[in-house]
Amino acid sequence: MTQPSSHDLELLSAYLDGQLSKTDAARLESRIKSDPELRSVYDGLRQTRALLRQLPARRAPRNFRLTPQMVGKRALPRSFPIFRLASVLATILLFLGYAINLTANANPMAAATSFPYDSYYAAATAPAEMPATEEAATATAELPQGAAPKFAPTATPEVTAFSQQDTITPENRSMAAASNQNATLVVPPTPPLPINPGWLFGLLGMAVFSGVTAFFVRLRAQPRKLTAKDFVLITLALAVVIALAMSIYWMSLH
Amino acid sequence: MNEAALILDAQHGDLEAFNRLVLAYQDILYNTALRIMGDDALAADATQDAFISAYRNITAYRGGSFKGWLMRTITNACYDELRRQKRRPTTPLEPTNNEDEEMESPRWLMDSSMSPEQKFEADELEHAIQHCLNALPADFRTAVVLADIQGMDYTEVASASNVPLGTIKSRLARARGRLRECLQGFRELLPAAFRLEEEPRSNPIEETP
Repeated sequence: MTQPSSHDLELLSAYLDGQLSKTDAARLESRIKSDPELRSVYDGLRQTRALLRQLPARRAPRNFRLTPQMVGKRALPRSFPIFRLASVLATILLFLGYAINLTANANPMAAATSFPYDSYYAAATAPAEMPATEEAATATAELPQGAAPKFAPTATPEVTAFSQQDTITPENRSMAAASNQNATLVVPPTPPLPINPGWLFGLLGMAVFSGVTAFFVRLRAQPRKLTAKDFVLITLALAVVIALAMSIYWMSLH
Repeated sequence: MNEAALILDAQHGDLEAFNRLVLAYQDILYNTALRIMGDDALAADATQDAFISAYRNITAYRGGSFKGWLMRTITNACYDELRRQKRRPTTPLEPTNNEDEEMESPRWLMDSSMSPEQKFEADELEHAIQHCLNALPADFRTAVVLADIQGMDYTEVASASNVPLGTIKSRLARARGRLRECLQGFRELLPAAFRLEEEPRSNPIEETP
């Protein structure tokens, strides 16, 4: 049998599919006419292609429909709705608490009216027996560290007590101003936030934990490729969580 | 419902919508796999794998010919299946010589050592063609199956095989050349119109596309 060069074979094959330029096709045609061997190869290729084209198309021997099991779509575990609900509830409560604190922060008087001063006053009687100046200095020093991060209930009565004594008895204020210059820097303390920021942090943690757990529980049960959209949403959620955490912390400081 | 809507639903996880696409394309995918794999059962496995893979990756489909996209999936599934077979070989996929190198022009079809079963199967033209296809390296076989059996153009074949256009042209030419040689061994099976090198030399040029 005639063995064409691989270059001729490629030319003939491309010619067969009408893939040659007009010039190349014309050149090859004249070669085929004058070269019986090349013509024989060409005929053979053409017939081979015709044979392949006439191969009967077979029908699928069975149905290839996919079942949920085939694509790894398992039923979601029972824990999934619990985590999802916990995440949603924690988020709602978090935003509710955050909004309440935000309103109180923006309008301290409104918060002050709802603040249960009476009980705090009662609790503050013991510290009130201390000399006013000494107490004022203690309260001033403790305000940023003691009161801010945790809003410890023990720190609050002292601040309140100071505020009470300071505002009610003008002599105390003048004494404090005279004896300790720090006292002049004391800003009028704001009443504690209606919702303890510690609770807000707890809710944030719960929302994140249950949300992430629900996400992975679902991903494990129904594996899928994470898309760019997923990554955008995860980044956004992360940004919101960080912003909220910083905001709550800032709120607790002021 | 049209194809685009079904694809969109499938991209949102609607398995039923995807299954309607499966019904529309299962014959063409199975047929492609059958010619590449040369075995009914392996072709069925590859087809099923291809549909599973297509469903899982359907979000990666970004428009264009859905058939072309599925053809790429079935080609990949066939290659995966061939690799699995290679790891657990029963019969060599590509004939090799004593040095374990692939033979450029396998002549095993004309070999007297051909088993009676093989001869019996080769009695039919379809089997003869499939035997010749099976003797090709997988890449060549895929090119010729997609272009000549499925009627795809060079660009579509290149896209489905994930190789450059030039490579497809070369593979197709060499595959056709080898098939031409191989089919000489089955001349008596070929219809008169297809008797290679015996056809009246009218004017083949005029019959070209």
